[in-house]
Amino acid sequence: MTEPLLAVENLCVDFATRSGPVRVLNDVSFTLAPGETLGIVGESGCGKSMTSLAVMGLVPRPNGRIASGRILFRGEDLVRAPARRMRQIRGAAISMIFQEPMTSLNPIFTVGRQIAEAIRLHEDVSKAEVRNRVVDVLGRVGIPDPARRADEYPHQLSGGMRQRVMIAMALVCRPQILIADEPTTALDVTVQAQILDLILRLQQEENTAVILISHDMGVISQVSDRVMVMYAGRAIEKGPCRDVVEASAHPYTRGLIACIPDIDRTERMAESDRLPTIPGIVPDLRALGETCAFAPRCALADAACEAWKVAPIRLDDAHVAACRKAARGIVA
Amino acid sequence: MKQKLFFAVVLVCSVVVLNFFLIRLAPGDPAMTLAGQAGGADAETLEEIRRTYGLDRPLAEQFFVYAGKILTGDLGTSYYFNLPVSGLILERLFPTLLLVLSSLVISVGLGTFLGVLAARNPRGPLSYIVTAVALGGYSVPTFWLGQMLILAFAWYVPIFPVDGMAGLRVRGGLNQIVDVAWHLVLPALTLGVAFMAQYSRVSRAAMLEVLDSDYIRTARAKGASEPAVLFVHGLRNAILPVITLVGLQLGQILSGAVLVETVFNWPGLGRLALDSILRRDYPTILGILLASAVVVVVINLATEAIYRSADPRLRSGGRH
Repeated sequence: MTEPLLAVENLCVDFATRSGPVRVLNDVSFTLAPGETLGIVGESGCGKSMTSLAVMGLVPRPNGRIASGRILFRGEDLVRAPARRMRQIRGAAISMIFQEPMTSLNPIFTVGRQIAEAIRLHEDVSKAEVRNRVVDVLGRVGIPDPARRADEYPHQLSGGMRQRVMIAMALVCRPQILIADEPTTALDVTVQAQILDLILRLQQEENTAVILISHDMGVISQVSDRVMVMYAGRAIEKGPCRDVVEASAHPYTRGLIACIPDIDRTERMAESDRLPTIPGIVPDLRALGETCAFAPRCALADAACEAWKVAPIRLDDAHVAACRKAARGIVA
Repeated sequence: MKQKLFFAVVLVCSVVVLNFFLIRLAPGDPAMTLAGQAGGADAETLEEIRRTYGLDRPLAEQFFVYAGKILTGDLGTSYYFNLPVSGLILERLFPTLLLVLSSLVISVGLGTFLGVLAARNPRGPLSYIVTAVALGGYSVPTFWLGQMLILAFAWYVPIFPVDGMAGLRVRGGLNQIVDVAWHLVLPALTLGVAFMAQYSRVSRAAMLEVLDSDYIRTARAKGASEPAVLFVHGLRNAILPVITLVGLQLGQILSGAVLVETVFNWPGLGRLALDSILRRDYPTILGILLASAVVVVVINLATEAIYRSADPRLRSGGRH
């Protein structure tokens, strides 16, 4: 395997709350190769957004802080990089698209100006050149009449258009890594597919590595090369997409996959008329210890699970799961 | 905007009507006051004075004569100075506007800046200091603050002049401008501090809300520097409620100017108003009230226009 573009090693992030510090990311590790798509999937509050914010150096302060671990971008540790260096990297080498296209653009500046700002922050180019690139990138993300649209304000654009603008802004400096945090969640279903296709097309054109974050296992399984499943601040299963989806080792992953709506299957289970769900709710992060956080919701859990100290179990070269039953082949 | 202009005109007209009748409801007789100053007050003299100024006419007639004159730009003649009111007002309008606008710059500029700094770390020491200073500035009576500033910076540490608007010997050119600016510092500060308090509170609250929004995170994700995030992306949005407040408060600042002008012997409209009220100089009082109503309305319209240009969502063409 070639040198990874990004290597996150044993990342822990703590958040200060009234009732003391809470570990929102616990020992998260993963790598990302150039041009690769890594899907991060999990329920709300599992730490998938926090992982991306940590990579961007945007863990909310003063409450949040990276407690330990390393984030190596081409060998440089971003956790220890000075603020100035992080500003050079953000938006240029690593950029990010957020979930909420309606509110992620500044309402009082034209979209063209906001994209232009991203260019001017990182490159020393003439005004005319900036304008050309703004119009060019708006065209590339599929915005009709880009020269006119560049002078419009966010409120004059639809949600899908705004997300295209966000993508244009993220890609205008040709980043090596694009982090897309639920980029389609807030959009109409018909627009979702378009936006996803757009991200993947641009990724191929530029050989950008993409971290795609979603709660939707269906989306993740369609587009990712590798998948990381997160639960309660931990990466509980990761591996090549095919392995994770078709040979899931962790009961939680299997639960997520069972929740993907499927027309054929829906017909088969007509008598119940319901999608399968995972019983229970996401646990309170404050109450977690070193044992398996999923055990209380897990159908396969037994008394030994309650006492088992969570550790990644290697199933083969690339496929890892944090379930004690995975190792014994009970689940598989 | 056309509608706004129409209402502005209606408003000014109502001010004219209301002021005219309200002032006549107040106790006191201008003829008596004038006669008193002339030295005698027998019935004949009073009659004479009333006839001269038309005070013996029915109130309605007096009003229509007055309204008619206003339309031609004639605000009448001051009972006291025996000079055209419009001239008196124009002469004093500039010092008042100078005072009001410079204290507005101080209160909005400094207040907003402090509010932004406080919002950066809402539980930090700076935030508490700003809140305390704001509360203090808001609570302290203007005239007291003015006198304390005079004591401190004109008496014990004589940096600034005690009162007035210009030194006697300074005439013409740059020297005069510097001299007026020098005289302006304490009064503008006095008036500004009281209102600064509110601007710092409002901008702090607005900034806190704005800094929490998604587009601020986007700006950081682009690699924008902290000052750019605060003052370009943050403040441009947080300034909107501040602009609204300027429009709302302008009348208060103008009336605050009356006190400050009195304390600092500033030759503005406020002091003329106070003196004219004591002298029952109806035409001058009415003229000043009209002038300040016009000033408030004009600045309100200007605020509205600024607000529109600051917030593109208010301009036409939006979908939401």
